[in-house]
Amino acid sequence: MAQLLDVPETRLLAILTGGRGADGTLGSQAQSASLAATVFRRLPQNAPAEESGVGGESVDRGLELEWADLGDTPDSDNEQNAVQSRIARCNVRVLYALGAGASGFVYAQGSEVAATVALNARKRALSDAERIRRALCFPALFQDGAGDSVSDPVIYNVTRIGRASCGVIGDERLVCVSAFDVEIQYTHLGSYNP
Amino acid sequence: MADNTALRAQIRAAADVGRRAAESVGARSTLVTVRVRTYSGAVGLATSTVTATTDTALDPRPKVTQVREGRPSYFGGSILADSGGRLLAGEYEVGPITQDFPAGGYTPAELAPAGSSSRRVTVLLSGDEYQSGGEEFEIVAMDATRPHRIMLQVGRVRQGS
Repeated sequence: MAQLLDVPETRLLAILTGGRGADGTLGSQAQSASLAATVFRRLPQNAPAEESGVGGESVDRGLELEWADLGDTPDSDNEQNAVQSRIARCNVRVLYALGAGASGFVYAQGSEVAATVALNARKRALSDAERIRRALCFPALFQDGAGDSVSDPVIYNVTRIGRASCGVIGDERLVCVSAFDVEIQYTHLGSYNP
Repeated sequence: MADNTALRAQIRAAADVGRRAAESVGARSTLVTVRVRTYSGAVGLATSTVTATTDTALDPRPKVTQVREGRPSYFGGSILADSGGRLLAGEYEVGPITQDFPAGGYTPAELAPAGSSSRRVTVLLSGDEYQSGGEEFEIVAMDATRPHRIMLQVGRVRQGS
């Protein structure tokens, strides 16, 4: 059995780290908004971004999905309705190598030069935050595609909340946090037991 | 006056003999291994796999001492945690390790090889204090300023590849 947020998390990770839509099978616009599977990587063992035990090799563009809260939609559902809507807050927290001494651990991509981007981590992080927003909020990426089985719960909307923001967390690391509301609908409450 | 590298090497060799003697009488129960894992891509990518693992067991075995019980950590653990104790990332002091000389010893770079987004360096401690198979640590401090020895401080990190 699966918990309520298992399926939504799998879909979000498919977008962020699995290259969902990057092959064009979900359409050209989805392909344009998608993230290649080699852009971001999940932090080892889904560690918190603040954990200093995350080694330097895993830091740059390593991400954590932080499920922060869960609540009802503004218009409460009829409790007897078989279809229920909920909103879950998910913070996407991405780490970046920061400072000249950390340039050896930069996960450089494309035309990036490690020694340069390590000195410009904030610009890089916020630029990436927009890529994440485009991908996560693009319906064809979070919705079921023709080749997918029907998701339950199903994600019916993803919205960025507030602004992406950066902060230094020591050890030559920068964390960039983007908050998203993930709106889901589930149909069979009894089936979400772990 | 010029630096006397020849004499320094001789003293390092003598120090190494003394450290080897401690090992030979069974006084060094912890095996210290520098482990370097090379991945096919960035560590943590779904497509990345370990392509090579290189272990360097320090010879002679250096002294290993717990410097503090450790800090609460997501990657905490060990025998104590297995028995219901707290999840702590223990910190240990490793050394003295003989500095490099013609017939032995180690350079700082040999003890702490360069890492990267596709190369993970850990220190594996094996012995009575640690779980079966040893536990992995990362170097959090190094002192190679003394002429004949290097001291390391290591902290527990995630285990395995």
